[in-house]
Amino acid sequence: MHALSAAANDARMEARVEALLLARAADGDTRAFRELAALLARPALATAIRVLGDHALAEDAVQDAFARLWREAGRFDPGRGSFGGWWRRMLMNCALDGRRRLKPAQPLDDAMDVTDAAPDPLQQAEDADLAARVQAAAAALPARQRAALSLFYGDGLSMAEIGEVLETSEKAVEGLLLRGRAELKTRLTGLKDELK
Amino acid sequence: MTDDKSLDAALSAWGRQETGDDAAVARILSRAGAFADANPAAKPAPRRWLPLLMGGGAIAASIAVAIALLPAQKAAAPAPGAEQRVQLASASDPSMDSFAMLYTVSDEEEYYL
Repeated sequence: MHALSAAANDARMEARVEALLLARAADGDTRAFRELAALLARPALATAIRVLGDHALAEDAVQDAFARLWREAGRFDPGRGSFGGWWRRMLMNCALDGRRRLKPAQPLDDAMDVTDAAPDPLQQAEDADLAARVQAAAAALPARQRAALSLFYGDGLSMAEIGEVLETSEKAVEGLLLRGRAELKTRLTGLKDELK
Repeated sequence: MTDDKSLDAALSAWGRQETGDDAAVARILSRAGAFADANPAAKPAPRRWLPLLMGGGAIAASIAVAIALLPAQKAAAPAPGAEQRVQLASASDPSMDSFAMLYTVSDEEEYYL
């Protein structure tokens, strides 16, 4: 319980810091904008990679999102939703921009060759392998299903929060997640045996 | 076919993966900062309290004008009894009789009459 409340307090503090930096960035404070970008960059890149399945496209999408954030900082209205939801919506719009053409899905055999330079415990290596397989399978999903799965499993958002980001209803998000999971289930053939 | 538990485990592993290297993050931050430097904000962020302040000022000004007009309106119209007070000196106007009965002249006023 204490750990949960501490985490909630950390989240609230983080939200306050982001709001303060955004307000200063809206007034043209480039230093505040750089500090805000430093807080957002890594999680944004991770989300974009999960959605797009390609590091270069993901980096490009995050870059575009930050440019929009700078231009539109003054338009954020806290009365209409959280900054986190607003930022993620901006990021998703950039990631799902039709101009970004995904590369063909990486074959599962190649996905097994994903290596990490640093020595990892066995569990971490198995997780990395699983993640790579999911990433390869997810590449064949429609973009919005992939986005919903990434926001749910990667960012830990609720269905209501995902609805805010994707500008759709909670019911629609539920549908995206169900269809995405169903499709992944059939694509990840043999995964059950490998997990044993 | 993969069961739900296996799929959940796989998706959780996918969500936990730290994707994106430090070099990519550094590039993103460098370019974001350069973009901000090259594109200064065109105008300050709109002050949300300004319309409220202007609206409140307009209301206050309207009230002040209304208050200022009230005494002038009263002054413009002659007191109901003013003319009659003068006419009381003359009892020849029968229409003033009823008023004359209602209005009791003080000693000072009677002196001037």
